[in-house]
Amino acid sequence: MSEMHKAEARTAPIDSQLETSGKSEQKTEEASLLADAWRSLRRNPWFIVSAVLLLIFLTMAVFPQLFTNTDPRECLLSRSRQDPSGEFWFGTDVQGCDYYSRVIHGARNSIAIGFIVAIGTFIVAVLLGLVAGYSGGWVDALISRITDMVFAVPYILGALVLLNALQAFQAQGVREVSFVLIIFMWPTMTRLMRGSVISVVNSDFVMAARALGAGPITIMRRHILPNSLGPVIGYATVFTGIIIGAEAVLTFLGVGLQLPAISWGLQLSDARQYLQTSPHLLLFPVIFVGLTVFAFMTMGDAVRDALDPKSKK
Amino acid sequence: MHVKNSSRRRRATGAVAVTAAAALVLSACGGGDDNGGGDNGEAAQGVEGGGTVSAYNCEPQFLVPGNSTEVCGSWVLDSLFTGLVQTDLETNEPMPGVAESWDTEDNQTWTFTLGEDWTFHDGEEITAQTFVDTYNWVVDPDNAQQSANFFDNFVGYQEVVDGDAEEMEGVRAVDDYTLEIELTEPFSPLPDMLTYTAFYPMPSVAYEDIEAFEQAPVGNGRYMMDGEWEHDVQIAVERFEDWAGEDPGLPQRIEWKMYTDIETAYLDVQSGNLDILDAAPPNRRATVESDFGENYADFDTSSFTYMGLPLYQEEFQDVDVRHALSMAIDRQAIIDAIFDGAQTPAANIIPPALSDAGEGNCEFCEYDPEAAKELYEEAGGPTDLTIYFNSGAGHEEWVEAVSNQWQQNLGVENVEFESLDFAQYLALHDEKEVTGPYRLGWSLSYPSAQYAMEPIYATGASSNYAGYSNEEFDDLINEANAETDPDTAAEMYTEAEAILLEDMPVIPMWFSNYLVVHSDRVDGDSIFMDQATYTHLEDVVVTEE
Amino acid sequence: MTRYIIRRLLQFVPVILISTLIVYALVFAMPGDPIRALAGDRPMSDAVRETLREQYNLDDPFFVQYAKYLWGIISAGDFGTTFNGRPVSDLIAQRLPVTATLALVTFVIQTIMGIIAGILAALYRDRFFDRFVQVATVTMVALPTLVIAFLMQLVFGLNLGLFPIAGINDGLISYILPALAMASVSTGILARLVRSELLDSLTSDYVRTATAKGMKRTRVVTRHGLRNSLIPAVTFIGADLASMMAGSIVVEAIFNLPGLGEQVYRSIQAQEGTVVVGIVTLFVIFFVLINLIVDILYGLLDPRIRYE
Repeated sequence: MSEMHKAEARTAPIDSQLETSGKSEQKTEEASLLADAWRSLRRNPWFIVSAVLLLIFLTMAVFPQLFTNTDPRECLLSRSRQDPSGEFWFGTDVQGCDYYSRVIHGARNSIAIGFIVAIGTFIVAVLLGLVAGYSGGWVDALISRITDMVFAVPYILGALVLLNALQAFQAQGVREVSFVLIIFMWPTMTRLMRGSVISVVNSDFVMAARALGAGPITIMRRHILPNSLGPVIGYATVFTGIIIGAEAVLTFLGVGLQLPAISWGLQLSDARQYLQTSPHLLLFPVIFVGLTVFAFMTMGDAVRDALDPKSKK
Repeated sequence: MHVKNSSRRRRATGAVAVTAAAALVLSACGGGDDNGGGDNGEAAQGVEGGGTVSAYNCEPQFLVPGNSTEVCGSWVLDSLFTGLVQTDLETNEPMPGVAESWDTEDNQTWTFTLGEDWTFHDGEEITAQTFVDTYNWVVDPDNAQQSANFFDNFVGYQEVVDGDAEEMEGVRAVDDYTLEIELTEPFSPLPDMLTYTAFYPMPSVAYEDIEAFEQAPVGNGRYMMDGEWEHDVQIAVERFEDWAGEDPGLPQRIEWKMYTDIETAYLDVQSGNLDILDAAPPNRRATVESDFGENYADFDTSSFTYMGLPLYQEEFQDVDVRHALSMAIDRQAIIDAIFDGAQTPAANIIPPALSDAGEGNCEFCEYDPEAAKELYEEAGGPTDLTIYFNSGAGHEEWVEAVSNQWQQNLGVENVEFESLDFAQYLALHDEKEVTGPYRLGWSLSYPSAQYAMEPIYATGASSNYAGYSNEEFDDLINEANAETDPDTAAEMYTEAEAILLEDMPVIPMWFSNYLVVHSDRVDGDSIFMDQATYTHLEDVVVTEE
Repeated sequence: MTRYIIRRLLQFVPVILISTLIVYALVFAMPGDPIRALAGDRPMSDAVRETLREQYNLDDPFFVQYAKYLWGIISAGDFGTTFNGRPVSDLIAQRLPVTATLALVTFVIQTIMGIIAGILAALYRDRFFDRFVQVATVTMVALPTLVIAFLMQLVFGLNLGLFPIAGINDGLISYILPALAMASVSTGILARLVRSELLDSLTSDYVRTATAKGMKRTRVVTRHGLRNSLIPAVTFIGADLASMMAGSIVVEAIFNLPGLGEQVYRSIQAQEGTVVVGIVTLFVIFFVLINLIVDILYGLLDPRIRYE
């Protein structure tokens, strides 16, 4: 352990961090950081690819009618489970609806839930993880133990009860389902954030900033946050995909989106039983979910690389 | 009068077997039906069969006869116990069990004459008093047996429930082998009812420690427990060689393997790890032939699925609305698309196997979208519907299909779904808060037209979730229950059914088909599923060890 | 350090009390009568229903129920029973080993595969292997576990006959397929975490210094780069292991493993409060313990992290 290169363990651009006193200076510096990031992003081909993909999916979510004129709810049992053809590009599903149109229209609910939940848990996780990791002591103990408890409550149980309580007001839609998922899914990310904060909090540049009289908020925001976001961003991008799947499990258990809602998650879970007879029912939503996850992941990587002070040569 | 003397319960006609050629193939490699299993040499006493058969089952809820209300447990109990009366599987008529014969003058006081050589697996003899003790124990509220209310037409039931009496007056041991049952009113289907799980006899050891008993029930059936109930893993039984009935079980040993996922059981039969899966997923029908060759069969059952209508809501009180909803459903199309053709569209309430009406006579079960639309519009049927079903039980697809047809054929504009877990679902029904069509099913605990109707449609009956009430119907059922001539009674039940099909408190959907798949180790021709969805493992011929 | 551990262990008490209370309250708040649902759609008689409700204290107010539950545990070590009379302690004794074995096999598989894949992806950044890991991760995340599990049964179980399709009768080998199914998504995430952290530290000054001084590349990676990048990985593995100890409803159900996850799901549906609480208490203990271990590991991986 002694051979750890203590000083260099988290080499941050110490010299730039040291000049944190003047407020005006700070602002311009932040602006230039963002400008730098933007410049390097524009040059990253993977960023371009993922940005285009995300743009397509977002358009699909907001304006599905740009992609298809077919009504996804026009279903004729007589043409149930047809293979892809010229008329039905993606084939038809069990109810005999045009599957292409279903998949396109599924984007809205799935992306909305994936996005809302990922962002929601991200915010909760970053805030709690930052505070817990930075403060240590009883604050950390309290936050960590609450995390443990929420972690231990089976989310199906929580979802059943919470959605029932919510149902008194309205039917369970994207908002309600997202809310429940956020409530029960923040702990993993929070632990991740806390872990990386702990590994940064003792580094020299934090000590230095502290010695120079920077307040805890400043230290957290300016020094710890940028250096500890990496793992959480990495996880959050994959998490979006996991959420799209989790929504389907909730539906199956009777607490997710209710029929007749259309979502990729529902399509995936319905497709399982036709895996051998009608594989196209699985294939198309998998491709769409896969591309979405891929876009989020690549985008996350690119943004992180651009923002991370360490990765600047 | 009722005494029957049916010999072996050979199936032959009851089933819709699609495996005509399977037997030939199997007997070629297995060597016919006499192959007393190698290591179980004691199949000696002239009993054919032998070997071990393993079957898919779900984890039973309870293994006490009076407490078992679901098929997983009742199926196992059916092997472990024999009631007073059994069902002849060919005719679905009652036939002797522990009782050799029975008699009644008025359908109200019944005398059963018991066979003299029946014992439990532990050697305890069975007499009329055994049944008196068992029945009183089941009814005693302290024992909290779920099926206690199957006894509610026994004289003295209410007194015991209210705590005014220790024992039911209506169950009496006249002598060691004569049992008398007195009912509060005439009830012709009593022998049918006595075939049900709740009426099996229990040995005296059961009352000493019911919890220990449940882990390894001692019964009087063809099979006895081998070891304890291994929860979530398996239940194993061995043939009881001293069984007093006429047609002992064939396999030497039966093992029920508990699965949580049916698809997995399907793959296990395919790979030969499991012999019989009698509830193969319906969507497997498309591939079953390539997966199993000839090792599969299809059985019609009396398991009934319907769309109930909450008659306590104003929109559904107009009979035309109900007819229109029914006529707008293309049952066959749904069955073809979603169940690969594997249900029998219902044009009746009494299962075809028990009905004299045969094909059914439901005018409004015919698909007729134009007439339906016209009727619906004239009657001013609701444009918004909420459809109810219980979640996680595989009802999503067909309920959605029904809703699509209502939207397309009736001009229904908005459909919402309420999928709830079962406890919540039932609570909603009990509180009469259901506001639209709801899915429910009914399967027959005992094979009787009475049981197909009275509990669901009689005024105030326990499972009458629609809130249906029709005096004429109630009277007909009561008359039929009192009728001593079985043929006249059957006619009356059919008449009562016609009233239901006209009033349509529920929309009949279909009777379920079951797809049974099996391994190469058993003779496919020997597999038989009865109308109540029980596969008779005791008749299965094992062809190879 | 010892003081730290003792303090952490003391936190068990309030954590367990509060979480059992919450879970009990959640079950209590579920709509519908569990006893009513027990008998299916043919209702049992009111007399029987009342007897059963009384037997399971369902008619008592919430805090009385909870107090009776706690008192049962304290006075007689009685953790309650299921609605069909099985003691919760028996259930746990039967199911815990199944879930624990599954979790451990999964843990081993995903830790080894995830870390190795992450290291290789970092070393060969933007080359074939890196892209392969990325695509594999995307695929695994996009495919529902249900489907992954089923495909594995089909291919490795039925067609190739390498592993049993379901059940636990063949010992450890029966756990391989379920573990693979369970590890699929986490392995991908882990690989990505390791990759990006390792990339970070490989570009840091001290690693460059070490390389410049002529240290072998493998040694640089294992001694310097990897160690520093393991903290997020360890955190993730800890959290993931904890949730695996809570069992997976889907995987346990598909592979017919009688484990805790499957039981909790079933008991939630049956509204068997005592069962749910008993098992969840176990989960809480896992989480607190595993997180304690993770926190201690932080200190070992990075000596600057200290606990007083």
